[in-house]
Order: sequence, then structure tokens, then C-alpha cells
Amino acid sequence: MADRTMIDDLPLHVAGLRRYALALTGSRFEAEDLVQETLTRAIAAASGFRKGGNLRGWLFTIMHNAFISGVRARRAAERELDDGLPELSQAPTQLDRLEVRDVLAGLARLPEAQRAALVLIALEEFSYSEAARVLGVPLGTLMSRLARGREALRRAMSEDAPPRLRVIGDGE
Amino acid sequence: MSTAQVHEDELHAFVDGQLPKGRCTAVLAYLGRHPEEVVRLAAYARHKEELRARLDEIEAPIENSTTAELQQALADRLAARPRYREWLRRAAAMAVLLGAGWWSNSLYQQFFIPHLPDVVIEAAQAHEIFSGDLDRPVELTAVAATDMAAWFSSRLGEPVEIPSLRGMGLRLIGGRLLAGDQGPVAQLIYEDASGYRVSLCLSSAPSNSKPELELVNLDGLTAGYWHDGDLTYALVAKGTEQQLVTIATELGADQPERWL
Repeated sequence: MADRTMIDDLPLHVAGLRRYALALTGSRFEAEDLVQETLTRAIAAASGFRKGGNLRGWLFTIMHNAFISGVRARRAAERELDDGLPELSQAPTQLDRLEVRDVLAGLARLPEAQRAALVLIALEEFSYSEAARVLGVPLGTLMSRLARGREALRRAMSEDAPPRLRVIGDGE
Repeated sequence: MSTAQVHEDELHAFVDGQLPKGRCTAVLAYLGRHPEEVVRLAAYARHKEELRARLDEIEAPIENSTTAELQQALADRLAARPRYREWLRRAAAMAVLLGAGWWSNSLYQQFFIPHLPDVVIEAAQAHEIFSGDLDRPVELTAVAATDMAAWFSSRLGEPVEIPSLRGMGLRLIGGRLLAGDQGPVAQLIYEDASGYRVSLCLSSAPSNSKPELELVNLDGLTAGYWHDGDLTYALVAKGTEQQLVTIATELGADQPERWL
């Protein structure tokens, strides 16, 4: 069981979960669904939560597992049903439709594992060891995903030159 | 590590404010010698800021009462004094009033609480949380009933069969494993054609339940419980006691000795 002040922080953690879900799924509706799935699982497992445990880390771990087992599997099944075409490395998402130079569009193009690492560290400011626990990987793996993710994002952002405004009617 | 050598991980730690104190000078010295690295790290830091700003901008939650309810349910479950203690008190009071016609604090603690296994309270709570929302999916769908039986058996450490209530017009819609105070609890949810739901919870934790069905009222829900083999069964629904007795008897409970 958790103490009162820890539970008072729950709305903040839920907002954090929503941001993380948004970065993982790229869609507000899928993100909300993932948040609900996470809360449902947390309710079912609540009495297993250790007194004095890390509530935020526990919730993000549940979300990560829910994403891996639920949302991703469901998406793959839907894609198969939809068109029977070979799976694309990245599903088109709302974020993809943003301008290329937008940092979120760059994020959406990263492989999922790198995206998860980057968001936990950059956005939620998890410590490296905490993020590694949430993702269930060794620290070294987390660091290499973070490094590769950051570098890929940087290259994407610098190669994609800002869209140039065409001068209409010039020279007429 | 000497001051001349700086590891890639340390550069990220520098960006993230997670660099151990003793390494700061080494990293700064390295960056002084490598201006191109400063440019790279500055880009990482800028993207970090932009990510935060962009996600904050679009994070604004979709107005969704389900999320709010689930958040509240989780807060209740995590609270130091769970709601089921309230139920326990009310149920105890009712039992004493009905059974003896008088009230004694010590009486219910001595006689009533030991009679009500934890799984009954947990079943009632789980029923309220998971059966109310018709759209809420179950974790394990009924399609794979044999897989579900195998999974529950392995977690409860006792052979578990998934009972069929089709004869009574109740269809199994799925189940989930809950973490009970005394160990894992398997929850099965059944539904009739009109959407009326009944949950059955199974626990292998030792309890003093008997083969005879016992009934309690918990905060508007009716719960029946009994023991069979090495398992305690708790059946919960919003319904009359007679309905519950009929279903429980179908599931193998002996006719009740007394109704609370």
C-alpha cells in the first residue's frame, strides 16, 4: 500500500503516462486507450505494489508491458486484416503527417525501442537506471538506444532542410 | 578513466544532468578541445527541449470520464485504508444485527471476520471495478478457455477448470489474474444476453470456507462463497440472493446452511 502523498502525485504520473503513450503510439486516441489499459492493469495488480515503492516507475513499467503485449499486437493484426501487405517498418501515424522538420515527426520515424528510451530520458527525466528497469533492458542497452536515437534524430533534423517558401509571381 | 578519455555515455549524461560530480571537469575539458562535439551536444539538448514543448502542447487530454474513474479507482486501491475495509465493517455489522439482534464490537471481530475469506471482499471489489463498464475489455478473452485454465492453474498452483454456465444463459466473456492480499486471484466474468454480469473469483489461499454456500451483502452487491477441493470460490453479482444460490449450486456449491 502506498502513502497519501505518493497517491496525491497520481494525476501528475497519469499526465506523464499520457505523454509517453502519445510518443509511443503517435495518436491521441490510441494514447488514451493505452493510458486506460495501463490503469486497469495497475488496479488489478495494486495490492502487489510495495510500500515505499516507486509509483511512477511501476506505472511506466506497466504501460511499457501493456504497449508491447497489447497495442502493438493489435496494430499488427489490424494491418494484416487491412491489406495483407508486408508490414512497414513504421506505421503511418498522426505525428508523421507533421512537417518533417518538426521534432515529433523525427521522433515518430525512430525505431520504437530508441523512441521509448529517448522519451523516458528526455521528457520524463528518468534516471538511466530507472529507465532501464522500466524497459526491462540492461543499462548498456539503454545507453546505446539513447545514443543511436539521439543521433538519428539529429541527422533527420539537419538533413531535412526547412521547407522553403516558394516566391509566387516572382519575375513576372 | 583519464581526463583525456571521455566515453560517449558521459556526453549524454552531461546533456541529461546525470553526470557523476567527479567527471564534470573532464567532460568540459574534452568539449574545450572538440568544438564539433559541442555543436552535437547542443543539438541533443535543443531537441530535448523541443520534444518536451511539443508533447506538452498536444498532451491536453481528451475529455474522458473513463480515464478519470480508473485513476480514482487506482488511488482508492493504493490508499492506506482500502475501501474493502469499509465493506467488511458494514457486512460485519449486518451479520451481527441479523444473527444475534445485538451489537458488540468484540463479537464481530471474534466471530464474523474469520468467516469471511479475503477473496470474497476482493471479488466484490474487482466486480465493481471491472464489471461495471461494458466496454472495458478483459485481459484474457474466452476464446482460449483452455489456455486460460492452464495459466490460472500455474499461477494458483492448483488445477483450475473454467466452468461453463451456458445452461443458465451466461456466456463466459473472459478473465484476468488479480493480485490478492493472500496471493493470486483468478477472476472470470460471465454475461447474459441483456448484459447482466456475474464474476466468479477463485483463490487457492487457505481459508475457512466450507462446501456449503454462504451469502453476504456487500455494499449493494450479493456475494456467495464456498470451498471445493483446494479452491475457494466467490461469486458476485448485483442480484437477488436466490439468483446467486441458483448459479452457485450449478457451479457445485452445496445448498446454504444459513443466509446472512
